[in-house]
Amino acid sequence: MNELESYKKKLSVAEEKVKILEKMIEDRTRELYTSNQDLQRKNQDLEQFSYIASHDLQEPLRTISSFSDLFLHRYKGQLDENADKYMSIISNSALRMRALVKNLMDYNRIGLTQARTEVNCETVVREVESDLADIIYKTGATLDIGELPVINGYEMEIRLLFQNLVSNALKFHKSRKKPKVEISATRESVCWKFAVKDNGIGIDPVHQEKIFLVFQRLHNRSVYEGTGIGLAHCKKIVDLHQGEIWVESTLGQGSTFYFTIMDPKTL
Amino acid sequence: MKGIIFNIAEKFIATRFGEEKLEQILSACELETIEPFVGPGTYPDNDLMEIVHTAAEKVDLPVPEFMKQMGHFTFFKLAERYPNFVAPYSNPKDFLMTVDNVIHVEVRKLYRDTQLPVFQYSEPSENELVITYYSKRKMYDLMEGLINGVAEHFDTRIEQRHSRYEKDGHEFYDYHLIFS
Repeated sequence: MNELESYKKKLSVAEEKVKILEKMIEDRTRELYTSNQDLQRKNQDLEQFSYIASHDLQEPLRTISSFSDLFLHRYKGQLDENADKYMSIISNSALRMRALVKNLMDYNRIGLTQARTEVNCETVVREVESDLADIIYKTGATLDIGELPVINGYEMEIRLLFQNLVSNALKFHKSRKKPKVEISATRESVCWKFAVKDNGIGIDPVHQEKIFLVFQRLHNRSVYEGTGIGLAHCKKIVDLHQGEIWVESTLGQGSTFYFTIMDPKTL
Repeated sequence: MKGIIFNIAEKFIATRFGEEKLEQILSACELETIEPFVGPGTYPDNDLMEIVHTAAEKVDLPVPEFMKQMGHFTFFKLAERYPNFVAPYSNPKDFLMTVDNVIHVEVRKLYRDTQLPVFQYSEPSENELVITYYSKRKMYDLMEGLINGVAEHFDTRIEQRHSRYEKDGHEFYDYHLIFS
């Protein structure tokens, strides 16, 4: 009888616990739903803001750029030497700012346009190689493309990712040394791990995290061209594929950029 | 204090001293909480202390010893419930070093209103680790018991040297651990 009473009591406590837990789950679900809605709204506001900011900036910039070019074209040599120089600086800066704004707009668009598909990385990298044929020819670079997998991802973004990494590898090469870029992939337990290895100038360990932030430049623009957004693009693309990106490098001895792309089938 | 600790305390008493003893102890306690404790719930710290003090008296153990034994039991219960936090490590030092920046991070994701102790680590040598513990709850004996549980789980001897001190008006507790 005592045992029966004890079981009854335990059962009643367990039932009460279930009720409390159910109430907690409901409260938490409601809370998560509200904060999710809130985040979506804030995200839309941010997208809207950056779209308007970058889009509206383009117009006056285009005007500055066109009129400074027009000015240079019509009045070059008619004013003093400084005037020509100042106008060139205005024109170049306006051009650079247009490139920055365009890159910002591209950055915002990552992941918005398409759905995931099967992406043959080897085909993508071959296409990137063909797009970069001019710089490959000029620098005398060699690209060693290993066996690359077919993954599930955003094709346009994956292409941009390889394009950024390979063109960085070609850009930051040592003077009088032909760039050599090796692209490979290995299968890890739940993802693919890609490596883009170069024999370039390398990156100081103190900068190795900073390089993935928007508009971070480590080098003077006159030495290496660019807006400083390429690796931020890469990070955003890798994030979109639930992966990670990092670099292993020794200054003066080349860099290897690694990134992982999660295989959704294993999740 | 989160309900999971109350549930472990109940389980500890029931396992070690019997269901009947647990009933006696809970009946003798003057608790602020009326409903049964559930893992994700948050309950007054005083309720746990009331359970611990009443239980220690009823089982004739000094409170610090009771807490140490409960800490030891707690480690195994947590490891059983969350094996993924323990399984990847082959030695106690590597595991202990993940408590603050891996385990506590995950706990915060699940329980926003949780108040976790703060740990700081220093490694005087390869086989030593100093964990500086800070918590308003000052559950030093429970932590000692937890470390004893870690040692047993990894089948390693951990010598513990303790020092309690004050800095900027706060009380800290160092667990100087020597692994052998």
